[in-house]
Amino acid sequence: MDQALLLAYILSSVTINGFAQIVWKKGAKIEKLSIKGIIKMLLNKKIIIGLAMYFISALLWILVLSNTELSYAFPFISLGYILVAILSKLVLKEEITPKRVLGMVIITAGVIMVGCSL
Amino acid sequence: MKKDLLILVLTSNFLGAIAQLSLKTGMKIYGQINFGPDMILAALQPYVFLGLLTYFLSAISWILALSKAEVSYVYPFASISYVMVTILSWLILNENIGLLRLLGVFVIITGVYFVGKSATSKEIKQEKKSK
Repeated sequence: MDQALLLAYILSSVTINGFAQIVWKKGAKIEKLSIKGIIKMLLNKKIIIGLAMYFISALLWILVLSNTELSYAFPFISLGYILVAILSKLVLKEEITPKRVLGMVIITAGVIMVGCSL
Repeated sequence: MKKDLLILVLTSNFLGAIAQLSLKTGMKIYGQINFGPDMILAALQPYVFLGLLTYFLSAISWILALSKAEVSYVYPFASISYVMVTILSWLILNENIGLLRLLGVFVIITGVYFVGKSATSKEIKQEKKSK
């Protein structure tokens, strides 16, 4: 597979996954850590939508894994932290501290290194 | 509370790494696919199916961990999955992990640690409340 196409699939999978996490963060309210509490949380509409997105992201991920090594593809998942931090600011109005920006820059540098390692 | 959370995060990362290994093993057996209906058919390959199931369980433990809102505590532990997946890829899948890839993984882990340790004041407040 063409490397540009491969990267496009990896980034789509990670992006959908990041959006799913934001939807979850809005829906994940659990009162008690028990089987009943978990089931109640899972029946929340936002959690179900998030899981559906997670499934689509997983299908894209299968496509990625069929075309490249696991040790190459997996580190890209860390880009999700960056996306989640940015979306948290935009959607959930959370702040991004300078230290977090530094962490995001470092993650990006690491992903670029891995990206060049084929 | 902290112990519950630690167990959830470690379970999520451990299951996540196993899921990745199972997915990759399944796709090795199934063969190369392109975008399209093959993606659904491949999901039915036993190892891929098992991998998706484990991925799902890992996701649930992650949601539970996230629901505790202690992001600063959760994220640094998430770095463990990068170490696990890299070692498993090398040991079990016999992938060649070059120096650049290895260094990249270490840099990422450092970054994830920073993102986690950079809790915002709102998050710290939430953490104090939950204690």
